[in-house]
Amino acid sequence: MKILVELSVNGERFEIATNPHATLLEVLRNQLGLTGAKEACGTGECGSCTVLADGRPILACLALAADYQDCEITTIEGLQAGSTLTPVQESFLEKGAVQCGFCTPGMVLSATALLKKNPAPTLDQIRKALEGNLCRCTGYNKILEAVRAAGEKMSQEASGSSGQ
Amino acid sequence: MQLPRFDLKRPSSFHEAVRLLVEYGNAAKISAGGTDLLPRMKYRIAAPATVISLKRIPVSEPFQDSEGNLHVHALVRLSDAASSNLVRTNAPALADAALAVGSEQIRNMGTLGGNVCLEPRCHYYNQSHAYQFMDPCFKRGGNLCYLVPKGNRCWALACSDTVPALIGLRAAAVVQSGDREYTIPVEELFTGDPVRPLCLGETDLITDIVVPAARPRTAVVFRKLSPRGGIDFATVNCAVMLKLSEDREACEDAIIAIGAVSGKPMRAGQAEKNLLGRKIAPDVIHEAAGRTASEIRPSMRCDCSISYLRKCIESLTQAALETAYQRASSGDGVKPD
Repeated sequence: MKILVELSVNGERFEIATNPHATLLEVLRNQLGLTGAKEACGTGECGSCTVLADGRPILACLALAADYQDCEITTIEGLQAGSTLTPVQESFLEKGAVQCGFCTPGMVLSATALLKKNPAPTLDQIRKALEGNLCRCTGYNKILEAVRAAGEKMSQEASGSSGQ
Repeated sequence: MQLPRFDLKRPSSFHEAVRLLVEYGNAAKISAGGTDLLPRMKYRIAAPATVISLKRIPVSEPFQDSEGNLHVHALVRLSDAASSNLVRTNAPALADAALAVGSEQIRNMGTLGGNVCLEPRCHYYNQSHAYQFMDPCFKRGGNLCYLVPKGNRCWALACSDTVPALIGLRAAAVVQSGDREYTIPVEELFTGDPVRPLCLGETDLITDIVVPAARPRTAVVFRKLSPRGGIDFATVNCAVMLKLSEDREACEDAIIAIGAVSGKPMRAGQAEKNLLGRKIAPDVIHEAAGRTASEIRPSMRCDCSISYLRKCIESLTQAALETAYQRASSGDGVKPD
């Protein structure tokens, strides 16, 4: 029997009839059409299904949709305002941190959550924050560079706007 | 990968959850964060008819009672346990252990209580059985072991990171059982049988973890060794508690707990006893680490040899003892890494 689930995704409220065993990832991809979060391993090892729940990265493939009704879910589609990219997304493009792109939504969301908490992370802190996101193309160095550059860009913007 | 069908119950209190457990019995499984149960369900090695999700139960912040004991709610996320100032100052080993679990995402979902009750793992058991038509092993209700074909028992490993730390801290679990509540030391929670790892009754739930007040000249240190340093379950983990005498030279009390090498976390009782009353020096620490390695009997496993495991246990224990001595003697015994 289907159950009614109320989800708040990217600032919008949705009421969805779904199975009790539906994961958040299935609802996002199949019922809301938000295909940014990917399914790769499906068992919580790779992080390609990462979304933010109240600003913190979680694995949508291991989250029951019914369990995340009180959270504000942010997917990669909800990150940018209009067509302007966020500093993290820009840096990923500039530094060549995207190759096949399958891990990128998860990487960008994990990096965004990290930089919000800690705008100037050390290399070790970036590694720790991204330990749950696997990438099989880049070898990680470009991603680490991109996250560091995004942090610098964000703190420059913050100091620039406060100085005005 | 899709989850098998089940009926979802979402109680809003531990009382209600225990009532549901009584009602549904063996057909129900508890999901706190879901990061341990859901992968097993996707692999088709667990297929409960009912899942009781504890997500709606309100979680209280860690707090200290009037005697200085630290109370941590069982449903506190591992990331919150790791970043809580109260936990970091009063039980740094617990914060370090919580931070060593899985990945950022898993720590944001998984709970402390869930990690304590982590199902023992085995490379043969923890993989997809959706398209495998082999006879079930002991852990799947069968009568054989893939790892030890002629064996008569299960060899899965208790891999929790927080449990050795909690044993080092002499922590206790508050358990809700029907209408009554009881307290049991975390160390006594485990049977050693990976098929039925916990001594808890079928309808018991851990509601709180209580860490006794930090003692003077005492340090508890947690160390973990894993293949990649991130995401992985521990190859070996270790927690060491060292209490020094008033002149800060001799050992007054010691715990050496080794996890992830057998069906339950192990204590190196002989090595601990041998440390008591002795003046701590590099050769004494070296001897204690050596004794620990020869005393602990690691279970057979398929990813590394017993002799390698013994070397890991020795070097990990030595490193933990050295750090514990440093912290206990310098007086900042309760500071985290």
